[in-house]
Amino acid sequence: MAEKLTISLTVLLTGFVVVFTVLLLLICIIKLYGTIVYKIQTKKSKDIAEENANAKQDLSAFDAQPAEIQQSSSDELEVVAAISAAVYSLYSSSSVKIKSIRKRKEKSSAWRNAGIMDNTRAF
Amino acid sequence: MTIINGFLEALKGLYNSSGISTLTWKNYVMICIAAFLMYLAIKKQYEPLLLLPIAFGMMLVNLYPAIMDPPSTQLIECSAYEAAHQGQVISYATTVMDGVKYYNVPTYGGLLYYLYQGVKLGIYPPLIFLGIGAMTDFGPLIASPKSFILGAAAQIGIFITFIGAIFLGFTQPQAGSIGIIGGADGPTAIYVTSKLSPELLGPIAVAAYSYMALVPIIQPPIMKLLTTKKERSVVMEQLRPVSKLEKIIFPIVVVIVCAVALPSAAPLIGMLMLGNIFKESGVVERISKTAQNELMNIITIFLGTTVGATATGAVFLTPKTLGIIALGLFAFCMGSAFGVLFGKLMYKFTGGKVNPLIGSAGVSAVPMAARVSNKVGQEENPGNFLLMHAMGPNVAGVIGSAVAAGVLLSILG
Repeated sequence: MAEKLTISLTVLLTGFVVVFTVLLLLICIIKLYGTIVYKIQTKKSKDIAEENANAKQDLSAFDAQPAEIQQSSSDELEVVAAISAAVYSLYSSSSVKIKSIRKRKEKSSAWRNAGIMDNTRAF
Repeated sequence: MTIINGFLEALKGLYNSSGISTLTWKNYVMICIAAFLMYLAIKKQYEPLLLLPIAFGMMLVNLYPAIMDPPSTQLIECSAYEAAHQGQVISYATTVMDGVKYYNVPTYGGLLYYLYQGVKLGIYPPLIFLGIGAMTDFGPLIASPKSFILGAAAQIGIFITFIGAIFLGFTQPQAGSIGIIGGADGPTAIYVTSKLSPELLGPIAVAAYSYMALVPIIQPPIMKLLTTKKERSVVMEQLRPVSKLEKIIFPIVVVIVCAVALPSAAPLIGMLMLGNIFKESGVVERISKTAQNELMNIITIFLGTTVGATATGAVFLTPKTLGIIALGLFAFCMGSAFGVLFGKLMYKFTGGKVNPLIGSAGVSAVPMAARVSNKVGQEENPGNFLLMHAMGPNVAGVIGSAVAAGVLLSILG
């Protein structure tokens, strides 16, 4: 009985301590290298963003603004046309009127979730 | 008349060698169990990739037990053998008994006996881990390393069950093999059992895979029992994006830490991380795809069928097996419960930012356990997507169960 209790508690204690120690060690290491890599990459992307901003400023000197606005407006019209087509196709009724189109503030989109579900399918 | 006698003798010989005369009631019971498992795999789609080959292997060995027979030596009288094999150069060793000389003629083992060597020698489980590593995205775990705590907490069930098994009269290695069922990781359970107590491989593998398949039934009541509605409704913040460099460094770091700290876990974790670096490096796409698909599928067929073939009536239908199945369920429930309880602790310490439901995913069973966390969370709030948050503890559970396996092997092996 005493022998059984001894081995039981030894395995419980060793298992608990070793599993938690190894995984806590991994947490520390991952956090450490994660922070380093994140900082390096953020710095890199900031540099790239700055370079891009400078390039844009240079382009604005050549009066590129009206063309940009035109492009944006044309894109929006295309989006409205696509959404309208989808709505009419779904409800197939001419009585449907689209009054406004607004972007929903969602943390995760349906497409993203569909992608996640697909990528985490059962092995 | 001679022809009829010969015909009757042939029929008698066929009858004596057929299943009708050789099989016992235990074999028929096992065939019924196999049929039920096949029903679960095909109709209910419970882990069909594993349950179907296991069930079929189980049926096959109970219909034709010799399919798992090891090679042996047969003693055949020399004169009779030479008469039957005229012209053959015979080089077998001879044995003399009562003045009669016999050849020691080797006979080959059954088909599944040879395929089973991959299980017995601990080859298949690490290869399955290679495939899992090549399929797994550790991004959620890297983005939220605290998930490792939940992956560790869910392993407590293994060690508590070990105590229960010891007090129920199992030997120490057997108790270790039973406890590892709580990790809800089939390859790990098979690996540990093949090293510690191969005689229990059939019941333990069947129990481990059955409970993995029954995750959607077993876990939700435990999760709901241990959490409040408010806790289950917590919407967690979106995880930060993880760069490719971080994903490449991860397997290298994990394998170094685990293999140095716990060398007995190195085969499992080493292969898991090898598969993962194939995937994340992006430079060996062909190998990565092979590990994920062809290799994984081939090993799954061999592993499933041969593990099922260890479950013969004589081995499986014993009170010991019932004890293993009950203890396995206990281990699994304890693992899930401790995961959720540690999730609750994290909920408290983070000021309600962590949904405790993701804790149950720490039992491994990738990705089923994470899906269950997501589903239970959505029952409270349909717009709550916990899947990626639960994938962190889920993949941490794979590493955690391999570390726990290493602990058991180093203490009891």
